Amino acid sequence: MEYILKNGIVYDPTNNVTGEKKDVMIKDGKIVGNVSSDAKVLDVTDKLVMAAGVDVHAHIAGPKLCVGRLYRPEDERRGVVAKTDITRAETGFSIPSCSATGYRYSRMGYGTVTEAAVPPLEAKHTHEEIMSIPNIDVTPLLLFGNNWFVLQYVKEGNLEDLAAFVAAWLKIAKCYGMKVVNPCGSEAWGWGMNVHGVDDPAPYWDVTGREVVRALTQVNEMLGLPHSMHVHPNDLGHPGNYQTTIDTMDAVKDIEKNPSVIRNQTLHCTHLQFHSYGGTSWRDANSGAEPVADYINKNKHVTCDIGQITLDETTTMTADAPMEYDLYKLSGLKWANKDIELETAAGLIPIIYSPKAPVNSLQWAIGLELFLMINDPWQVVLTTDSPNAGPFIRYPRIISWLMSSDRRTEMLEGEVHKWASKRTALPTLDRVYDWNEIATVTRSAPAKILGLEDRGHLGVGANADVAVYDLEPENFDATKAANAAVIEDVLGRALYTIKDGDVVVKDGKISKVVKSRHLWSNVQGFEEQEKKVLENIMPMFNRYYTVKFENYKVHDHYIDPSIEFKIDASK
Amino acid sequence: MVYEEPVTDYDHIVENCTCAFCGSNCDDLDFLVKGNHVVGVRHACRLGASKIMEDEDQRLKVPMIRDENGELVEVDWDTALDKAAELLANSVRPLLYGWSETSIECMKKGLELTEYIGAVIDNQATICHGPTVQAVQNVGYPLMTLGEVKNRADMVVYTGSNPMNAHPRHLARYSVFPRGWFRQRGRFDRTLVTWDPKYSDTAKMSDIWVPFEENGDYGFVNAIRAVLKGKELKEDVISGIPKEDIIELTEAMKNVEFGALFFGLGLTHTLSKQRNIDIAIQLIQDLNAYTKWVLLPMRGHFNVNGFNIFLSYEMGFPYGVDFSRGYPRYMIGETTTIDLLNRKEIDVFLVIAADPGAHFPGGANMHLAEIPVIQIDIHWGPSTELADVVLPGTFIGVETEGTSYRMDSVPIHMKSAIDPPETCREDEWIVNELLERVKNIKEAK
Repeated sequence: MEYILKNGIVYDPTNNVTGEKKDVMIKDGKIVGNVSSDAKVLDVTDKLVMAAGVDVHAHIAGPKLCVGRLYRPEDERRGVVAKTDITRAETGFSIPSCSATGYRYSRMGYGTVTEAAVPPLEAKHTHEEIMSIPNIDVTPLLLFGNNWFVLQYVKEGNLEDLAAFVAAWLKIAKCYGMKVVNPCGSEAWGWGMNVHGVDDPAPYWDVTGREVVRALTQVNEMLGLPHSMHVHPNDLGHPGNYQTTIDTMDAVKDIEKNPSVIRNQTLHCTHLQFHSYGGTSWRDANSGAEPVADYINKNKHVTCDIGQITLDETTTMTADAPMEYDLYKLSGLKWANKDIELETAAGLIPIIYSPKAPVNSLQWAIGLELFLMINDPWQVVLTTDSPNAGPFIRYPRIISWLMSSDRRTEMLEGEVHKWASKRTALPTLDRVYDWNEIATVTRSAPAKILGLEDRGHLGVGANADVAVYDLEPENFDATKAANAAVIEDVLGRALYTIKDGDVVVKDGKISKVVKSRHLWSNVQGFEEQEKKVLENIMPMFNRYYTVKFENYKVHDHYIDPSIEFKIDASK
Repeated sequence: MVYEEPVTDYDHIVENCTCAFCGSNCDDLDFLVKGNHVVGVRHACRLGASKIMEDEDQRLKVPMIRDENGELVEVDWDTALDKAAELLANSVRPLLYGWSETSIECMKKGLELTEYIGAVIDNQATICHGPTVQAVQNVGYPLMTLGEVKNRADMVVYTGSNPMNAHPRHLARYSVFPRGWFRQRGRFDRTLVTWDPKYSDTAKMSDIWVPFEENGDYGFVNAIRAVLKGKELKEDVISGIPKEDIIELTEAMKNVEFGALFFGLGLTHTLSKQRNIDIAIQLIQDLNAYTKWVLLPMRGHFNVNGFNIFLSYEMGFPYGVDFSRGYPRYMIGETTTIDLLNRKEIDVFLVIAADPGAHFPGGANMHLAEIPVIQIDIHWGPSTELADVVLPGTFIGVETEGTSYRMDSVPIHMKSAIDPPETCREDEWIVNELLERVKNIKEAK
C-alpha cells in the first residue's frame, strides 16, 4: 500500500525539518522519496505532522502490572469502554488492560514504547502481555542491578564474564537493553533493608551502587548495545536525593562510549523528577532540580526522562521495592510487594497526587523545572514513568504545560499548593517549548537515546510510523493559557496514526489493529565466553533457582512477531 | 508404604517436564516413556506421578452427545462440535467455566469466544481462593517467588493448609528442606510453624504447632497484631491459645531474618472468610516494620493462578467477568459462577478442565442438571454425568505443550512428552473450533 500525506506542516528534528509544508510518502511500510500515481492521498493540508511517538520509559507489561490489575479493580473500573467491530473492550485508568494500552498509545500517535523493567525469571509473562498489546512496538529492558550473578562478577571485578553474562541473559529473556533499579537497594530489600547513596554496600554482597552502575555501563559499551545503561538511581523519592543522582551520573563520566552506536549518551537517568529533591525531610523539602539540570547541561554523557507528576490518582510500581514500603508507611494505602529470587524485587501502592497536597505540588513543579532548565531537548524525554507519576494518557496535558508559561502561572496561582511556588524556581521560568522541541522530546530524542535509527524521524528509509494531529500549528497560539485544553484534546486523538504503513488510527478512533513487535538484542561474537559463563554459573543456578534452566528461557513463540537486533560486539 | 521396584523397562527419558497437578508446578520431572505412554515419573510426588502415569484411567476418548433416553452416545467430532456450537450460539446467558487445568494458549481462545458471544467467564478461584483475591483488593499483596523463601527464610508458617498432603513437594522443593544460599543447612536453619486446629501431617513435622480452635483464625491473628503493636491482651486464652504462647510466638516472628507465611483454603473458607486473609496480610505488612516477611496463597490447580493473571492482563479483572453488555463487568456475588447458577440465570454452561459436578454446592448442580452442559475434559467424572455434549481434550504438560503460572506467578512453558490419543483433540483446537462454528452460525443469521 502506498500513501501520500499531502501538505502537512512537518516537524522532524532529526532531519532538521522545522514546520515546513511538505508531503510525506509511504511505501511498503517505509518512508520513501516518491510514490507511484496509485498512492492513496491523505489530505492533511496545514495539519501538524510528526513521526510517531517513542516512549523511552513506561511500565506497560509484566508481572507487576498484573499484580496491579488484580488488586485494583477500582482502577480497572475507571476507563471501561465497550468493544467495537474493530477493538476489544478496554478497562483501566492507570493500569489499563493490554489491548487498552495499545489503543491508547496509538490514539496519541505513539508507535514504540519501552517496557522499562523485566525480571528475567518472569520475562515470559512480560512477552505474553506484549503479545496481547496491539499497535505498538515494544523495547523491553532487562533488570540487572540486583542480580546475584552480576553482584558477584562486580565484586570480583570480572568485566569480561559479566559482559558474556549480560549478552547471554539478553538472549535468554529476549530483551532489548539493560536496566538498573536502585542498585544493591532491592537486594537489601530481601532482608527488609535499603541502601542509601551510591557508596552504601548491599548486605552480604559488599558491593555498592556505584560499582554496579560503573561495571554495567562499561559492559554496555563493551557490547555496543544500541541503548545505553538505563538507570533508576538510589534513594528515589527521598528528600535530599539530588546529590545521589549527581553522584550516579558522575560515576560513569570517564567511561568511553562505544564508537559504533548512534546515541550520544552512556547513561540514561530515568524519571529524574523523583531524584531531584533537596532538603533533609518532607518538612523542609525543596527543589534540587537546579544542580541536577546544571550537571546535565554541562555533561553530554547523560540523558534523562522526567517522570512528570500529572496530579492524578494512580498506581506506583517499581523494582525499587523498599521505596514502596516507605510510601506505605507514609500513606497506609494497600501495599503489594513482589520479590524475585536471585534477581530483583518489586513493590506497588496506589497513590493520590493531589494538587492540594504540598509535597505533590512540589513534585509537580520539580518535573517542570527540569523540563525547562535542561537546555538541550535532545537530552530530555517526556515521560510520566507511567503509571508511577501519572498514566501515559496525560502526555498531551504535559505538552500543554510545556508550551504555555501562562498556563503554568495560572496553575501556580490558583490550582496547586503554594509549595510549588515557594520551594521551586518554577515561577521564574518563562521558557516555552515550540513544536520542534515537543517533537524532539517525544520522538526524535527518545529514538536516538534508544539507539533506534529506523524510527523517531521521517527521513527516507525510516519506518512509516507517522502521526498527524488535527491542529494547524501556523494558525494556533500554543502559548495562550486558554489553548491548553485544545492541545490536550487534539494530541490525545490523532487525526491519523500510521504504523509501518498501516493507518491504525483515523479521526481519533482505532481503524486497524496490528500485532506489536518485540524488539530484542542478539549480541554476536561472545558465543564462546557465553558458553563458558553458563557452564560456570550452572551449579549455582540449579541449586538456588526454583526452575530448571531449560524452563527458564523465553521460547521463540513468546516473541512473535519480533525484530532482532544483531549486535556485533567486536566493533 | 510398600517398596516399589524402580521402573527399568522404558524407551527414553524426557527431562525437565512440568507437573500438571498442583500449584507447585514442579518443573524437574523426568518422564520415562515407553510406546507413547509414560510408565514412570522421576522426582514427582505420588499425586503428580499417579495423575501423569494413570492418564488412561477413565479417560474420555471420543466425543459424546446425550440422546433422548438420557444416555451419552458416541458421535463424530463434527456432530459434537456442531451441537455444542449451536447451544452456545443460541444461548442468552452462557457461562464458560473452568480453565485452571489447561494452558494460557487455550484460555486465549476461550476469552475470544466469551467476548464474541457475550458470555461470563470464570474459573475455580470463584470457589477456592476468591476470598484471597477479595482480601488482596482490600489491603494489599506482599508476596515473593518461592526461591526467595528457599534462599532466605529462617521461619516458615503454614496455616489453613496441609502441604504434606496437598502440595507434597512444597516443603521439599521450595520452603523448608532445600539448602538455600543463606540457609546452607536447609531444614536445620529454619523454624517450621503450623497454625491449624488439626494435627495435620504438616503439623506433625513442625517445630511449633499452634492449634487454635476452629474458626479461631481471625481472633488468633488479631491477637498477634495486638501484641505486635504493644497492646496488652485482656484475656488469658484467645482462640484457644494461651496469651503467653501468643506473646512468645510474636516475639519469635519479630526476631527472624526472613519469614514466610503460606495459607490455604482453611483460611479462606472458615467463618470470617476474606477477613481472615485481610488480617493475615495486614500482619505481614506490620511485621515488615521489624523484619522481612512475605506471604503466598497455596493455589491448588497448576494453572488456577494463570487464569487470574491471564484475565487480569487481557481484561483487567481476575475472575468472574461478564461480557453480556459488550464490556467486562466484575462484581463478586453478581457475575460469579455459584451466584449465577443459584439464581438460575445461566442457560448454557461450558465446563473445561474442571469438575463442578464434584465441587459445586447442591443448588448450583441442580441447575446444571436442568440446562445444557458442554464438557471439555480428559477424564470421566461427576461433571460428565451432567454433560450433554462431551468433547475429549488432551493432557497439558504430558500430551500437549502450553504455558502455566505457578502459585507464585512464575511462568513456565510446559512441554509435551507423548502424543495424545488419536481420537482426542487439543483443548485449544476444540475451543477455537467452537469459536469458528459459533461465528458461522451467528453470521449466517
